[in-house]
Amino acid sequence: MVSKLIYAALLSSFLFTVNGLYEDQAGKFDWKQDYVGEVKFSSIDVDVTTKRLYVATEKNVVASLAIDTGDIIWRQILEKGPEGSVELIHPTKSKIITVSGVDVIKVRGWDVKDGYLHFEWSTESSYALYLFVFNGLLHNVYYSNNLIAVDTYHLETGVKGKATYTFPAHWFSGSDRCALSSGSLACLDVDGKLNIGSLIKSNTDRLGLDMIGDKIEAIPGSPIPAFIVTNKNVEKLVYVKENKILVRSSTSRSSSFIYTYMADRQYLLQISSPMQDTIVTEGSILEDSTVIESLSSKESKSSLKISNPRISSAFCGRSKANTVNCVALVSTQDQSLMLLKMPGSIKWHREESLTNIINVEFVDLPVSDIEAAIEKEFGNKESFLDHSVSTGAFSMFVRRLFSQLQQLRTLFATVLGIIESPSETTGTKSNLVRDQFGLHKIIVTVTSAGKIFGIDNLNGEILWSVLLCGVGTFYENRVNGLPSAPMHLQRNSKHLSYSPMCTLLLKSEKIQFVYIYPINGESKNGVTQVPYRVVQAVPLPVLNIEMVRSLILFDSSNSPHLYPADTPLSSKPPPLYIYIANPTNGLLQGFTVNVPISGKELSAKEVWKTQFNKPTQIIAIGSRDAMEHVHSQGRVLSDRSVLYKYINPNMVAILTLAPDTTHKSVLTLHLLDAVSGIIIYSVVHKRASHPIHLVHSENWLLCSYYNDKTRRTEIASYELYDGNQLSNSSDFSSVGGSLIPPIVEKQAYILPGFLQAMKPTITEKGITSKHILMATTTGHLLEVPWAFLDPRRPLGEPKEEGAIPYIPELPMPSESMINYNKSLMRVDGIYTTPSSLESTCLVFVYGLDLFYTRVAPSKTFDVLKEDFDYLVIIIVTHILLISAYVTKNLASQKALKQAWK
Amino acid sequence: MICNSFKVCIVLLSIVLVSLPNANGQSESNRELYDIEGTVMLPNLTTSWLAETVIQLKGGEAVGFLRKNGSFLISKVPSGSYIVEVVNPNYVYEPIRVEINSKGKYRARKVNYIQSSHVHQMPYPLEFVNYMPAKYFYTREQWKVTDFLFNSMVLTMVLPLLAILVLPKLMNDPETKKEMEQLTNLKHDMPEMSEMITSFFTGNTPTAEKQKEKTKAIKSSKKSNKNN
Repeated sequence: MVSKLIYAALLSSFLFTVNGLYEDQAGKFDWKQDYVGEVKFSSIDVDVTTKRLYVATEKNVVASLAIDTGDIIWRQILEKGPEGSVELIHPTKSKIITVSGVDVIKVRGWDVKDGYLHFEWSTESSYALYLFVFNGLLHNVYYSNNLIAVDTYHLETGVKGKATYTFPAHWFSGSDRCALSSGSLACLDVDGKLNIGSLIKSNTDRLGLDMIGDKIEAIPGSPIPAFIVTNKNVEKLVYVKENKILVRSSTSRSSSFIYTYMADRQYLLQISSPMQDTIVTEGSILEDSTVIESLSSKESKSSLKISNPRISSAFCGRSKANTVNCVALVSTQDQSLMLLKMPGSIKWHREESLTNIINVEFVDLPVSDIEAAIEKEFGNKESFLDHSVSTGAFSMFVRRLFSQLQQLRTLFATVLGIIESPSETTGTKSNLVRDQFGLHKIIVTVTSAGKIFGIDNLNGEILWSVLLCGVGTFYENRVNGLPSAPMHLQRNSKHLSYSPMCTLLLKSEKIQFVYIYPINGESKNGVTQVPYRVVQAVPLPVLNIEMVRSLILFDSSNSPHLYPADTPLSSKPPPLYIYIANPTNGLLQGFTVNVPISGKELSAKEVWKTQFNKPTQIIAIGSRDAMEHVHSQGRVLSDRSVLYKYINPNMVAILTLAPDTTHKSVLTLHLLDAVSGIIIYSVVHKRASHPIHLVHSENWLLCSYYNDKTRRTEIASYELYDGNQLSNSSDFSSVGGSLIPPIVEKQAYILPGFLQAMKPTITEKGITSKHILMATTTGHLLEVPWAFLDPRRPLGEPKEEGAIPYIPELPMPSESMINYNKSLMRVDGIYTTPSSLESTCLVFVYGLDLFYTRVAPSKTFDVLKEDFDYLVIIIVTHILLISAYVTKNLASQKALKQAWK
Repeated sequence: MICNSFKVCIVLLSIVLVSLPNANGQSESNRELYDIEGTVMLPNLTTSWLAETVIQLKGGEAVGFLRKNGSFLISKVPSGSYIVEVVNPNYVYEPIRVEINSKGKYRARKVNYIQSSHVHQMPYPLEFVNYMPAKYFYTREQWKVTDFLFNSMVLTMVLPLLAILVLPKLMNDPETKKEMEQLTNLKHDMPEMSEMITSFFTGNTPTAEKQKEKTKAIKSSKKSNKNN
């Protein structure tokens, strides 16, 4: 047993030398960007020694930012979900106090300077309506028995204050018709009356005002009770001062903020954005509406794309020239955060919507002009078709001369420094051309805030951004309730005369498409509408004559449409089979679609149908990556026979979860052939619960779940084999041939940790071995060779060469954590894409932080290692050459001498 | 009409609001919540260290933060079995399993994923004492002269070279030449063992026979050449 363990340890140590980093490689080809999320509350600390901003965000993050640069100084991540949602922050001299949670209110005090915890206390309060802090006391407002009751707690110790006091609240009209601002509750009456009562003291007068309104909102962060009352799109600002209700008209579509300057003098700051690239600010004195010139400005910046700005916090002071100056932290609807200096400019700008990425696509860059010219000349047949160039001998010769002349000219120009870079003529950034190994790409990300970003994958710089304003809304992913944005790269960068094209599907009354040119973010054709509701979009295997990969759209009556509609295809597509899974009613349907070459009159026929009845729920569907290639057809066993892999390109894995009386919940994995509708294999895991992740690649599947019985994370591994004979030697057929079910090898492993996301690596030709990237809750990104998760790991003596004996627990060596000490918390997903190098796979991890790296699962066998000693090779070859000549001469001299003797 | 619908809405809402506290009160009575406490030994007690370290319960379902003295508190968790992990980007700590039974009794034990019934008791309040720096990187091999010299390739190349270049140089030295000559002389004096034996058995002088054989061989080879 011990020897076996040692053997395994040795083997694993040997295998793990395959991946991992050297210290000098850290940060060389990876980058990480830290974010905080959409700002909910903030406070500005202008103390000269600290100069900080404190923010609490929708992502349950409390952080401190530098006021000059916007960099994160410290960041603390609270509990996930509603348990950790920050309800209010309260800054004091040395601490920043946060109140978080819904049922259990947790009060934590953070150190201003370093962000460690000073104190923490908690109380159970499952029915709090409002929370506010006054006079060092946390007030918890709730409603019971027609009374509004207020509990007070000492903010730093949690000691309950004076007895609960109550208010008669016959005017309380429900939390959606009321708002709380600065300790005062305002409610809109049904009879068109506005009531405002202070909740700070136990017996206060109720103020009333005749006012009809549809909606009431508190002005966030206001030092005095102030509300915006909307009545039929007319906004009015209502505030309380010296126990009087005052009303001021307010310009709609602008957001207000009240700042107390010098004891009892209030400024009203208003901010709006009439266009995506402009910010208009206006400052006035609250009481008499006198406009303050120095605070009113208009700022335009072409790179800026914002909507509905709102001041989160501000600080004003008097400058030397005796004018009022303010700094304001502005958050926008598109979840960006910026510091605005009034008067003046935007000091810095953070794109916090990148914490809510819902779709990612890597897009190849176009080739440089010179390469394009070469490609035009010597390109393959396809590109000839592209450019309709004649292939006559004379014209070829002329073209050759011409292109050589051009190359010579650019060479001279670059040498003399006339043109800085040969590709500047394209008008884009000069370095945005494809490199030799396909490592330089553009990451196109769609965020749930409706903003699309193009990010340079080498340094993480945001190249462009597009704000979808009023175009449409996102679809909802019915499995997890999150917004989903189907995005298809309809034309890649390989077609020289056409620009690449990305299409995003959005929902409105009519379904909408947004085209984006992923290299510079422009959308030339803009938005297209189709007159039907799309339920499924599938890319075709063939291109149309404009080199666009057409989409087949299924509408709600399951009839197919081709998109773009009027362009004929370049060749007749093979018979298509499409499946539609509906997680809400558990219905799975398979269709066959006939697409004629003209691209018109598509027809679909239902082939099969499967129903998962309630309460069984489809939680995940795993299909192989369309780009994936399987290089080897089988596995050589120790007796030199071959075990052939069952590679069914039509197979999808369906995970369902159903509650059970004896086993709590039952997880079922079905392997379904999407062409014939046959369920190839099913397996059940009892007492399995979330988090559940599914990976499907080549002929194997991985399914991770939390086992409630043994209280650990397990990864079940399945591998499918055809047996000793290849059943489909040329092409796989789901309908023809034998229907012998595949041999399924299965094994489960224990993961000593909890998973956030899991994804296999992918390479261009599939020759490189596969590794699994796992993001754990401890913030590590693990690179685990698939050999460790192989279900054929032998239980007894190893029968196959190189097989690692079975050990239930997976090793998690720190060397295989490829993000080293750059912890990745709250990972939403991992995206992998191949590069042009077979050995290298590009990895992008998104969530609260963005992380990009590249991995080489079988080491970089196709390029020289970066620590390759060029100098030694050069010196050695030169020495050899020189010595060869010298000795040759010497030898001839000696021969001459000998001849004379 | 609109007004009416509003009224209905409000009435409904208030009912919900009233009924909410009661429902929660019931569920709370049979669901007691507990706090988990403990301390973490830190390599150094600088404050940035404290902020970097987070205590996670069951993969982040609940979190605790470190106070200045290295103590932490995970507040208000229902009874059950949890794994408590210390998460730090640079150091690795051993996780501990904490079990709180329905009566509120705490038990801490070593995490054993394989044999979950095996109990190795640990002190409660939790003490995270064992830590080690996480080794994320492999150390690159350094270039050393000795490594280069003892490389098998270098050895096979350099030693014969030495033998070719240096040994003839040594010959030039007159003293060594003499010594060498002496050595060869000695060799000449000493007849070879095999030859002695053959001569002893055959009675012929080996040198003459050898010469004969040689001439024979030459002749035969000449013949064969002619034949060709």
